[in-house]
Amino acid sequence: MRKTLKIIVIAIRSLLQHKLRAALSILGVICGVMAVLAMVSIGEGAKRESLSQIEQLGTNNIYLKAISLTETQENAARERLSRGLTIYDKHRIMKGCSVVKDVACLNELTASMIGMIREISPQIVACSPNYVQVQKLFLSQGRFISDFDIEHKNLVCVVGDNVAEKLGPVGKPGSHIRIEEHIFKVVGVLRRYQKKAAKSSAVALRNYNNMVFVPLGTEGVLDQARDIIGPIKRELTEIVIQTYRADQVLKTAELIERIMGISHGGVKDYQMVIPLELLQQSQKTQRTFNIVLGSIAFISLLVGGIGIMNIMLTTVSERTREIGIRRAVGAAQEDIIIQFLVESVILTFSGGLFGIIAGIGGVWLITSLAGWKTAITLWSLILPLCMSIFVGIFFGLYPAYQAAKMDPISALHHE
Amino acid sequence: MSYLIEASGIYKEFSIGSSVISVLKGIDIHVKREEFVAIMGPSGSGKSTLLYILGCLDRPTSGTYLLDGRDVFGASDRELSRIRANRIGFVFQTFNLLPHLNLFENVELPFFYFSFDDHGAKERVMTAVQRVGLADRLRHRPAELSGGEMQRVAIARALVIEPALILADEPTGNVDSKTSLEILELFQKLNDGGSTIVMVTHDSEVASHAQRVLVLKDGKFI
Ligand SMILES: Nc1ncnc2c1ncn2[C@@H]1O[C@H](COP(=O)(O)OP(=O)(O)OP(=O)(O)O)[C@@H](O)[C@H]1O
Ligand SMILES: [Mg+2]
Repeated sequence: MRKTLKIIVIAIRSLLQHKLRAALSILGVICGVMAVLAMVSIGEGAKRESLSQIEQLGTNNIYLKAISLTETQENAARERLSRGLTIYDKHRIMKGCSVVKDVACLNELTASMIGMIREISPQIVACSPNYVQVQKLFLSQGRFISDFDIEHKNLVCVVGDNVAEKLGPVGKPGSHIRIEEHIFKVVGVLRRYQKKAAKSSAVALRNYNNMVFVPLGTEGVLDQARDIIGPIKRELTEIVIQTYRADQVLKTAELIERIMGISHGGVKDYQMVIPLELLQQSQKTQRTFNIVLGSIAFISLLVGGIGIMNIMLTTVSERTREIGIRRAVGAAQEDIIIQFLVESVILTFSGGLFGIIAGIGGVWLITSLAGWKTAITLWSLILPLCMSIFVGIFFGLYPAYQAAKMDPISALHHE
Repeated sequence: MSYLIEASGIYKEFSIGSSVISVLKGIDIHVKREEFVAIMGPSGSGKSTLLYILGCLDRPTSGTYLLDGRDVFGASDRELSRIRANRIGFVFQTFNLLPHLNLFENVELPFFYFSFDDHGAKERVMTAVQRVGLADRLRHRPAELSGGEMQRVAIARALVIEPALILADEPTGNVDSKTSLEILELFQKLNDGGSTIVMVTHDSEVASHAQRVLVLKDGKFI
């Protein structure tokens, strides 16, 4: 143990004899490690972001979303009596698929809250009672919309966290708010929802904090006026189908596609979004990214390693005499190999450490300047460090071997 | 008294390209424990070559060599290195100190490769340095020492592990006659203390300090 420590100390001292040379020789490794760290962190950040978005949608879920139609599509829809997403779609799916655990419905309304002291414009939606479970939402106060509310078309509502906050004293269960011409009783407040910033529209997430939920069926009293002049009245804007397990999602999606095709007469007035599929896609892109990352890391560390090998060969030939002396006082070939290997590993390892420091700085800069999501994981620190050690051993081996196989006597007489 | 060195029929050939030069041509040398032997001979006669073979730094082309009763002819590099590390101390004409290490560290160097526990290393280094009379120069680098002092450091390095055998290749070759005498006195003292010494020299004056003088000529003792 003490000997190991001594070998390391001696190696560091030898390296410090040529500080500038040592510093220059590890530049390549520093850059390589920096690149690896930066890329692993950026990749990890991107992966996490898309993952968390997708996971918030629920990997067990399938979404059917109403889409706005072009005029010809609308005519076709009218001809085939397709009315967009309806509550009947829900029933058909429930009947048609055995592995469906639950189907929740949601209808975005154009109604607005009126007469509030402070300017707020929450999104008002009508939804089924199970929406709260399917989307894994939680309440901080009161209750969510119940089956009883649906049945009796009760004018009740549940408000999001932001809305409740802005409403102040009114934002509590038991108080009343006005939506269009009607008074709704607040029965519950949602717990704050951590919304991840969405970038791609395919995984657009709702901001539940800024929503007001009313029972499905009560929208009739709110949307009436628009019904006459607007386009075909859609009953629902979104149907969320929840399966029991993630491995049932793709099969179920196929089945739903068929059911919808038949019942809508082939009119594509809806869009199907499968988070699991998105997840698999993002994993595939991640794999490509990893290959690119791996090759860049490999090349940069190769270049760094060659620099190390070069400097170690110089060191060995400069220290021929020292090698002879050490051999004379009892160093075996292994001792010489170890001595030079330790030196090259110390070089690359310190290159790795500096690279990590520089890399963390770089990653921070990228995040703060470009605004990219990054994540420095333990893995993204350990990987480049291990690689730097490996480079030290791999590229130090040949020079060390050169040193060890020198003839001790010629080495002693070397000038 | 038993022999420390029993070498017989030692041949050494060097091949350079296609030509082979024969340097040692059947050397027989026996050295008792606690003996002080000098080897003389003209330049190029193979004195250093013989010394390196005796010191396990090189191998003979053929011959038998028993060091302390142990056959070292077929030993591996590792075994030879062990023997050098634990039983042999070298002193060279050109001192061969490491320039970036100070006096103490130079003398300590053999303990890197010494097989036994080095707990007493520090004290042993101090004792060795005191024996060569340089205890007040511990932090000095070789460049800050005179030739005679450097040779004394080299001697301290050779005796620090208390080797069975000290091999000196023209230890007085690079110093003046006064220093040369000091160094010889040191060897004398070591020999009196029980060290076996084999010393190569050109100088018959120097050789006269030894108990026995062997003369090498054209690869053979005469
Ligand atoms: N590694 C080697 N390769 C080829 N020839 C060598 C080698 N080592 C020594 N020789 C040759 O062997 C011969 C003896 O060399 P050695 O150094 O033993 O002589 P020496 O008696 O010590 O001479 P000096 O008194 O000048 O030191 C010389 O002719 C030398 O050229
Ligand atoms: Mg010689």
